[in-house]
Amino acid sequence: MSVTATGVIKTFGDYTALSNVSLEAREGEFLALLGPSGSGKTTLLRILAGLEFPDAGQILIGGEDMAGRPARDRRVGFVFQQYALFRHMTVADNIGFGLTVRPRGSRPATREIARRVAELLELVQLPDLGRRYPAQLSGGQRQRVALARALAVEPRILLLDEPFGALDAKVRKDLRRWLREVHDRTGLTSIFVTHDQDEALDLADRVVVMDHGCIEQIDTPEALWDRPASAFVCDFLGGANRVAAIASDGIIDVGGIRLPNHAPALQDGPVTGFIRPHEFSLAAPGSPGIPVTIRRCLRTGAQAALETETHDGAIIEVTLSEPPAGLVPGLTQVLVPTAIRAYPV
Amino acid sequence: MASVALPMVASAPDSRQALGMRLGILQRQRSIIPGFGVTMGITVFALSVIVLIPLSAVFITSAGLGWDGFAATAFSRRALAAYRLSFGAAAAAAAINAVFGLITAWVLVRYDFTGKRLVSALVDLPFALPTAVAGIALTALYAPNGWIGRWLAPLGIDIGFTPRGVVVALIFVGLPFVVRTVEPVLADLGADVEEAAATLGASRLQTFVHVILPAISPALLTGCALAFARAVGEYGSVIFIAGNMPFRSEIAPLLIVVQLEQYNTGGATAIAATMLVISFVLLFGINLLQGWQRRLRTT
Repeated sequence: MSVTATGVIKTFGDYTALSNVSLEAREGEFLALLGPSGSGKTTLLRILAGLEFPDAGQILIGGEDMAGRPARDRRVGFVFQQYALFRHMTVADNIGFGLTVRPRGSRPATREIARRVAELLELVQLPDLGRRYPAQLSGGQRQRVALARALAVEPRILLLDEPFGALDAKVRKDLRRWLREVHDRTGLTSIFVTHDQDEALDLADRVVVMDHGCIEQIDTPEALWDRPASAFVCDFLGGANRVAAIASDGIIDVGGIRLPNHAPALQDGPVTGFIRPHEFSLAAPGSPGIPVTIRRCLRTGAQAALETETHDGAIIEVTLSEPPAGLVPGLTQVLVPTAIRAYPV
Repeated sequence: MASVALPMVASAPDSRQALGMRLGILQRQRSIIPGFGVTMGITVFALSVIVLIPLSAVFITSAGLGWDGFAATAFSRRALAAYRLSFGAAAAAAAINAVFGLITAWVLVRYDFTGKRLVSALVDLPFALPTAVAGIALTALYAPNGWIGRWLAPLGIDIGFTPRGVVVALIFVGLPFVVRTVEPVLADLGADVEEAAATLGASRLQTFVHVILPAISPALLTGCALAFARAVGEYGSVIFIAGNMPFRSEIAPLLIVVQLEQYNTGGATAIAATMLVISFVLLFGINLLQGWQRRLRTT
C-alpha cells in the first residue's frame, strides 16, 4: 500500500522535530529515511505508525486518512531498534501475540496461529527456536523475531526504526541483505530509519535525506550519489573533501582548474566545493591545482590512499587507482580535481 | 606452540573443579575482593547475635510453659481472634497496596510533572515517620468525630476503632514497599514494549494484562510480601486507631504487650512464638512462589 505524508508538522515544546514534511512511498517500495540524530526521521516514522500524532498535516495509508487513528487500528508493522520483545513470552508466543489479542470474532483458532507462527519462523530462518525465550537469543536473532512478530498481523505497511542499530557490523551486513530479500518476497511497502548512509544507499529503492526536521532530498541511491541537492546531502553521504572555490557563469574555479558544476546552478562568487577522493589526479609542483604536502600514504594492492595537507592546514583525502612510484610523506605535489559539486557558502 | 599451550591452561582449573565437585569440596569463586572467610564469619556472627539467638530465646522461654500452658495462651479464643485480625488485616492491606502502589509507581515512572520529586519523597515518608505519629494522625482523621470519620459515620461506615481502621493504618505503613520495589522494574520495562503491543493491535487492557503485569509480577509480589511482613509486625500506628477491643480490634503484637504488662512473660512468648511460626511459613511460601515464577521465565 502507498503511504503519503503531507505538510506534517510536529513540535515538542519549543523544539521543532518536523517542519512541514511531505513524502510519498509508492506501493511495494523500500524507502529509507536517512539523517543525523535529531533530524526528525524517527519522529516521522512514529507519526506514520500512530505512536505520535502530528500538530498539523495529513497521513494517508492506502489512500485512507489516518487522522486520530491510534496505532492499534492502523495495521502497521513496526520494528523497534531495541527489539521490544516480550521477555516473559517464548519466541512463538511473541510472534503469535498480534493474532491472540484479536477480538474473538476475527481471532484465528489456536491451531491456525501455531501454523502461522511456524511459517514465520521459517521465513526468518529460526525454525527451531520457537520455544526459546528472547534472553536466550543473540541480537540478530532477536531482531528477526521482532520482524516476524510485526509480519504476523499481516500489516499493510512495514516500518523499521534503526533495525540494525544495536548490532555489530558483520551481523548488520548479513541482516541487511536478508531484510531486502524478505521485502522482495512479501512485497510490503517498507520504510526504515537509519543514520548509516551505506545502509540506506545499499538497501533502499529511494532515500529520503533529512536534516533539522526538513527533507533535503528524495531520490534513488544513484541520483543521490551523482546529484546531491545540497551541501548537507553531499557532506552527509560521506567521503567528500571540502574546498573553497569561485563560481562564474556555471564554471567552478579551484586553484586555476576550471570545471563544470555537477550540482544545481549557482550564483557567481565564492562557493563551497565538494570533491570525492577518487576525483583527483596528481601534477608536478608549480602547475595549476591545489598544492599540498603528503602526510601519509597507504598502499593497498594497486590503489593508494593519500592524506594530504594544504597550505592553510586543511586535510584532503585522495585515492589514486594508478599511483606513481615515490609517494612519501613530506613530498609536495599538486592535486588536480577532475570533477566538483559546488554549493553556496 | 600457542595452540598447544592454550587447551592445557584451560583444562587445569576444569579438572580441579571436577575433582572438587567429586570430593564435595566447597569451591570458592575467585573474587576481586578477597576475604570470603572473614566476611562469612562476620555474617554468621551478626545473624546469630541479632536474629537467631533472640528468636530461639522466644522458643526456649515459651517451652518453659509446657504444652498445656502454651496452648492455653497461644490458642485462647482471644489470641486466635488477634491472629486472625493481624494476618487478615495485613493481607488485606498488602492487596490494596498492590493496586495503589502499582499505580503510584506507574505515575512516578511514566510521567513527568511538576512536584514529582515531592511526590516521590512523600512515598518514603511512612518509612521515616515514627509510627506513633502516623497512628495519632490517622486516628485524628478517622475517629467518628475526626475530619474524615465525621462524614463517614452518618453513612454507617466506621473506620476509627474498628478492624477497618487497622487496615487503613497498615496500608499507610506498607505503601512504600510496593512502590519502591515495582518502580525500578517498571522503569526497566520501557515504553517500547507497550508501543509494540499497541502496533500489534492489543487494547490497553490486553497490553496491561499480557505484557506489563507478567513482566512486573515478581517485583509486585516481592513488594507485597515486604508490605505484608511489615504490616504483621506493625504496632505503633495501629494501637491508636484500632481501639484495641479484645476479640474485635486487638492485634496480636498488642496482645503480647498486654501479657507483658501483666508480667506474664511466658504467655507473651507463647503468642510471639506462634506468630513467628505463621510468619515464617507465609514468607517461606512467598519465597517458593517467587522461585517458581523465576523458573517459569528462565527455562
